[in-house]
Amino acid sequence: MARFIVRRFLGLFPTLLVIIVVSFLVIRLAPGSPFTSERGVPAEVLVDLKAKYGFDQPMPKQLARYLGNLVHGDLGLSTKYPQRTVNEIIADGFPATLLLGTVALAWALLLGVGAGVIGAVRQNTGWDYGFMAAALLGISVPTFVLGPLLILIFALTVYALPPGGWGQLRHVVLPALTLGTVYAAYLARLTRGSMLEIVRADFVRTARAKGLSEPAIVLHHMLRAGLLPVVTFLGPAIANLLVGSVVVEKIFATPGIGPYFVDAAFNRDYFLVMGIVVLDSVFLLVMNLLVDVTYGLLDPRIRFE
Amino acid sequence: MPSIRVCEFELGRALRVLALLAFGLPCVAACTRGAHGYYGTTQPKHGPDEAWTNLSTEPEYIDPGKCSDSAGGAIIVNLFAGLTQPHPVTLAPMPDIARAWTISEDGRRYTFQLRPSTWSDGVALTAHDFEYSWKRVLDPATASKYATFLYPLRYAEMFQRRAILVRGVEASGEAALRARVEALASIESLRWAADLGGCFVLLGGDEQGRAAARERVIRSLDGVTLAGATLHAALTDASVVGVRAADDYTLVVDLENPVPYFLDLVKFYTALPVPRHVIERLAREGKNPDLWTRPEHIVSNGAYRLAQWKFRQFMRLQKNARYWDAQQVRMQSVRFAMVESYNTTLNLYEAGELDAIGPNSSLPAEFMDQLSRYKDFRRAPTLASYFYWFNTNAAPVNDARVRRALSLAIDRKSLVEHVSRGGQIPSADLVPDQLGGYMGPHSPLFDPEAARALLREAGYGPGHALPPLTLTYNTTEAHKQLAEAVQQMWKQNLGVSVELENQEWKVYLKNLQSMSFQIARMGWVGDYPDPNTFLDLLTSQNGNNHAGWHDAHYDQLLKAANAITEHDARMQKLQEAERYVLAAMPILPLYVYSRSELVKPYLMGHALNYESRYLCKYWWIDRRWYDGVPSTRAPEGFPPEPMHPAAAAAPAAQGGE
Repeated sequence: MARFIVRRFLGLFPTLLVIIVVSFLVIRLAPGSPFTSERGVPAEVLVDLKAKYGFDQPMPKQLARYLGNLVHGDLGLSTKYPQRTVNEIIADGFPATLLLGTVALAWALLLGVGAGVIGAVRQNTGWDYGFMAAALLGISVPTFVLGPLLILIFALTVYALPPGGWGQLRHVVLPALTLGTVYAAYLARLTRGSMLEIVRADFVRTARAKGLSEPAIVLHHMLRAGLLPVVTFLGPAIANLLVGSVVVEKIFATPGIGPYFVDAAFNRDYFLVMGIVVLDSVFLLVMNLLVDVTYGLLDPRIRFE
Repeated sequence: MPSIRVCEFELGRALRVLALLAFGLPCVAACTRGAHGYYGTTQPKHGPDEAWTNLSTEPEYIDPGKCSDSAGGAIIVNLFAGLTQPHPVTLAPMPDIARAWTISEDGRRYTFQLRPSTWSDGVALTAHDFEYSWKRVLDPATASKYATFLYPLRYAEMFQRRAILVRGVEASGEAALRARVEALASIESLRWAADLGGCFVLLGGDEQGRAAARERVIRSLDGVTLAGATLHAALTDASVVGVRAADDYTLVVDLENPVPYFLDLVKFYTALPVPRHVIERLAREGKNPDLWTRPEHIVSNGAYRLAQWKFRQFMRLQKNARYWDAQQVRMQSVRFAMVESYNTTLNLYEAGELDAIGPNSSLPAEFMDQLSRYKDFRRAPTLASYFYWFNTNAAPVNDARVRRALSLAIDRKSLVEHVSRGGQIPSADLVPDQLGGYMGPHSPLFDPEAARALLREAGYGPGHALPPLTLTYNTTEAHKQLAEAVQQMWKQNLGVSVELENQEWKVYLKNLQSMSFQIARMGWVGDYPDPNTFLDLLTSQNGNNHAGWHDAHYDQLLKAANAITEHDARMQKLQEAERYVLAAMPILPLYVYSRSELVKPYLMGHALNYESRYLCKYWWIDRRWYDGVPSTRAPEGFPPEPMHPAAAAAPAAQGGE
């Protein structure tokens, strides 16, 4: 197991390097530059600006310099926010995204897994139909519809929660509900599906034969095996939640890192684009590794070779 | 299993429409509500000493010398005080740090008398701070994107563009000097400066190559004897720039040419002072002096100081007790949120989380009609024009008759009423009316008959149709709708086929700058309330002239107009220049922008001026709204209007207190 983890961990680096090099070159292919503006800038000023960011150097040299800095944890300077480093920008926005993502995930797990288990255990009852219909609705309604609907109800009709902004816990509720609900819907259907396969499995029958109580069977035996597909889904889902959502963060004016995915590219903020790509890639790769490891812990049938 | 983010990126056209509907849902629903005819709540959610508004986005810079974005500008005008300040309603220049000034008879020398005042840390603010700040803007090492703004100062351009100053050479030696330099590098221009006893040499070629060429030229010229004189060649330094502190409270400014709107220029944010003592202290301490605007370092001299700055969340300004006119500042604290989405901004306004939608935010166009029925809705024209550039080098729009025909074939009134629908003013003139007392030529808004006649005159008719045209715009729904309407009008009125092409903003700008277009849209926001801010756009030397249209007569007309010191005569000459340029039509004006805002009725002293300036120092909260809706509106309490700026700029005129 330890060898497997080390091998997979070392394997992350070449993958990450390929992602970085390709992204670094692709973003430079986009026409225009960070300093293109509707108002003409004197040529003398442009030259100084390019030199400040090292854009006047040949591309291989720029790439080598970027990789060198990256090894030291330096993600470079932002061109859109010239007084800040990319490290500072991510450090500023990440806590908001992290909090939002965590609350959304907790909500998704609570609602999704709960609804899925009840649906499977009480198959073909009103509970099952109700939860699954709600899940279908949750999957079908995108965040850019759900968010404004929640605002309309909770912020502009009953004035219970703010329609946007950040700073207090009450600002987290609506965006987290919006973000988490879609995941909850997927989780509910996934959990129900895999639990149904297990309901009739031999080890469940054995557990019943041993005279275990129903809650013990569900929680200790069925859920452990039934959660495998959920874990597969959770890996990339957590990675996605941690790097934020463009739409939800825009609707609720959350100062997270989500909007950078689009804005940084539009602004040709090369180093910020790279910073976000690096962050997202690292999360995704690490989460996938964790998923593989968790498999072995949850399912005794899986052994690491 | 698609991830959420992938779904978001792949929104199709239909989905985008759906998204628009969904985003706007709260707005539509809310449009049916509102107490006493106001939109949303009318009871302040904060204390009577503070106000909440929106900056829309994180500013790029709040350093006056480096700022080139409107968000930064909106903060700067509240933090820093310049020589003059705008009147909140008319924006005419009023004394600020300068308590009085005199203007020389030829209009080229301004002498400002400064009042004793201090920075927010108590350090005295002197004329030396202004001299330092302006030279810092011009210093190429500062890399200020708005450096050109101070080009009216004598020799400012020479310093900023790193010209070589060759002293010791006589005018008679020009041929010899030119030959000598040309042997080493290409020359863009030579400029004699009799008062300096020398000549500026601006090198040609691209800037990358120029740096090495400059060194070469300086090395080979310095100390050399030419026509019997020993030359001294060096890079132009800041000492030649036409601004100097005669003493602590006297600032003398020398201009290249008379600039009748100079008092308007000095209130623009680029010309506001920066605290030299803080910048130099940071440098001494080995810190990055560029970071002087961070909350832990910043010192300002205006009505407010920066109390808090949460990146991409908000900025909080606190009244600066050391501002010279602090006793007139009623609002203690102003919070600028940074909410980008127009719909979110509207939701926050409705819920009472914002008192005004903010200088850089707009109301969603699709709800404008409903919103305009509320009592807290305000609208005013702004200092901005919407137009199409013609690439005058590209056939068939290289023919002025074709360009004029295309202009006359657009029904601007219908465009504004049915397509843009934001209260814009249809206009076939480039300069908005009333700008600094100016009246435009009022070109015809729509005349399809004349358009067809012009096209026939240009040789296009039934047997010889005008080839298809391409109209390019940057990807935005509003520009697209307008372009589609224009496309239809040209088809209908002239039988011309037009292909529409949309491009992402940075791509669009690049193509505009490299003249890779035929017809392309642009909006231009004036920097100061004088017609020159628009007319200058079409001069040969202007880097923002994307028409490829260079006309020496037009340059001369504008120069002559700006040399006139008498206001009415100057306006007349400017109108002549505008007529001339509109006859050549390198630019096709469509309308003058207007600005629509929602402002809570309890926020007083907020004027909707044509630069959308938020001057928070005039703000105050009408406390009666805490207890309900009062029956009358209190007077805003604006200062009296100053005299017309043109009057202040008359020869040997005196301004100020």
